[in-house]
Amino acid sequence: MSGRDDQVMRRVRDLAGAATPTARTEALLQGAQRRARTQRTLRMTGAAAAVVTVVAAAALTFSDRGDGADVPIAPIVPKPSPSAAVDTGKVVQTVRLDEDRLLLVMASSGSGGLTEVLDGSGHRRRLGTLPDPSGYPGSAANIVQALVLGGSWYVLTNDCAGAGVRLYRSDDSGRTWSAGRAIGFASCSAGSAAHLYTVGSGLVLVTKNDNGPGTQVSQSSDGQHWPAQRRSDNGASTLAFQDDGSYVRIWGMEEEPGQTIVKADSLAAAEHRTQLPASADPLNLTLSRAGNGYVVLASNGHAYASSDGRTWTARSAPFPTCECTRRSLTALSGSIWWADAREGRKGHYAITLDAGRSWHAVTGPSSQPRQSTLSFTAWTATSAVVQADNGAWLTRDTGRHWTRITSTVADPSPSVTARPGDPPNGLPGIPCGADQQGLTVRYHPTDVAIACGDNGIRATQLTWQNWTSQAAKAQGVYVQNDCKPTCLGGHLRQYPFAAFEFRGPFYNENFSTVVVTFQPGHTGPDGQRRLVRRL
Amino acid sequence: LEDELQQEQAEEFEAFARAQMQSLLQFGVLLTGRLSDGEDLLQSSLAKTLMQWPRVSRADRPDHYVRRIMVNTHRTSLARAWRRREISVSEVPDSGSQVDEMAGTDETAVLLAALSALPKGQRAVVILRCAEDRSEAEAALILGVTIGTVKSQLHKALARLREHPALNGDRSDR
Repeated sequence: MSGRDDQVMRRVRDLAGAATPTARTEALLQGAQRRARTQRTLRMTGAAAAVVTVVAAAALTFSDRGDGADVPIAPIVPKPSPSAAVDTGKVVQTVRLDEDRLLLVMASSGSGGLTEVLDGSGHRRRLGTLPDPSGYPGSAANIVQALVLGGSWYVLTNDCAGAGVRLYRSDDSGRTWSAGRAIGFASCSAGSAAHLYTVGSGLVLVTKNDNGPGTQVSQSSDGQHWPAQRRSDNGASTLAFQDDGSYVRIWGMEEEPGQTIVKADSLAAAEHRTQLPASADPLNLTLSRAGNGYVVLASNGHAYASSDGRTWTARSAPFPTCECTRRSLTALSGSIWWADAREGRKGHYAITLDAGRSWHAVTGPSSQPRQSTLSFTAWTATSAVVQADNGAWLTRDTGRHWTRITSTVADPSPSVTARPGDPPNGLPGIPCGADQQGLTVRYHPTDVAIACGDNGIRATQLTWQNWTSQAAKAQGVYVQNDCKPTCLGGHLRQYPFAAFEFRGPFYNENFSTVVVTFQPGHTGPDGQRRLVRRL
Repeated sequence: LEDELQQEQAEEFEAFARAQMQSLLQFGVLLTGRLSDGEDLLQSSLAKTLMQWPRVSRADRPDHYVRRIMVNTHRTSLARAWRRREISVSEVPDSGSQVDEMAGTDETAVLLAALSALPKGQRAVVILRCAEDRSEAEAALILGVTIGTVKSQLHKALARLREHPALNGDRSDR
């Protein structure tokens, strides 16, 4: 070893001696003991898969105009209207514009995203279409959110195939929409998310991308000028903001069942923890802003309301007799809350018009295919639109009668322009922005993100050889970020492969497995001959 | 009797963890480059140690065992990151824009940055050999590699660190 090496070693030793943090011994020890206890419990009960999952509350925020307390409500049983002329397409988001009107944002055949206004009499008026960024057909159909702020309407999309998180804006009540502007990294991997929040007269964008830049926050005062995103150290992507900038979020750890509420006066202010009442089961809390307060649903079915984020009052349970999992609650406006839950493959739904004091069951459409799912709801004083598996449904008499306004029956003639890489046999590809009942736009990706929301591990230049409902096979190039020195500063390395395969039944817009087989004589980044990823 | 035994083992683990906490945390921070990540790595590793404590406690050097867990956990963290959900922290951060305490001094930041530029394997060797002043044999034992591997990894790492202006001999002699 040379003298220069000795000098470097001494220098490292000196600097390391100065870099001695003070250990928070008790906190670290207790945390380790809790984690070990949790792991033991999960192993003993065989419930390792039941780790804490924060079910993100829908991030839409609504202006609180009227609490709807005088509106009578009966159990809602949608009935199909056999003669109704319906469009194909899926209502992906609905936004309450005022007392009478709803904004519908739809993913539909051959178009990235359609917008319509629906009034209380059931009249629908077609508005502008969200333009697709060139080269990524259907990316605008990956609509994750829509909201109205001041005189402007916004739609947020998140496209894994490369267009990223984009914001569309309309200043003329939806007649024309701006070209989508990229304002964040695409986030597609598990646990990733993109949310837009209204804070006073401005907007806050929170994106979470565990393998890329992490959780990042950007605040815009006018929705047009977006400063560069900055890292948020709290790692939370689901928050509930008030107009004064204060927010509440759920805090929890993956390995450790048990969640609490965190309140802060602003993004830069100190956070304070608040415990829910003892009757709350602190697993899988879902959080939503409700007017000037907040509402939380615990996994044992109890709902809690708070006006300040610190003091919580119990409300009645929306599903008193169901043994449900994956409960979530969304405040549609100040006192109108929507709750849904799963019991096996069956969905349960309930609505309250009086801030959780009394709940009314909502029954799904009678002809539900396979899974019964109602989602993306918004209510005015008289109208509601619910997206079910077989179409979007409208009621104008608070649920007594329902009319189907769109159909998500498979489109017999998808209008897609062939793209390089598409197989010549016209086999179905990935539907963008719709489930397999509502195939709208189909294409065969030439670029697939295998893992990491920042496209850090992907297959590219794909040429498809076949595509069935059970498997798909392609040739191309495997690319992985070497993350040296960091994933942001790393280099993309290419590895030639013999075959890229999707396997498993195509369901809910995904195959179940990706298999990459490297060429003979070549290996992957970790020396493997074959790479298998569960999707 | 079983309860008493478990209680005894729990107390034994606590005593071990308290005694080693400071040096293990320093190891974790140098490995990850951040105080918060180092704390998280240490906490995860201690939890794994606790679950295996009856076996670990019989080892000659349980602290070696914990260090190896930390190195392996850190090495595999990237591979598992794509399925990670919430970031785990032991306590709620005090502020939404919390500054990492370890980056508080220029020299510390220099060291962490220089170490972060090394591959994880080389980084672990440098920390064990240079920062913790362990012998090649001891480093090899902790990492579960041969002494030759330690030597070659250290050689490569020092070659890269020499290029760093704050760590080369000129700077240290000043």
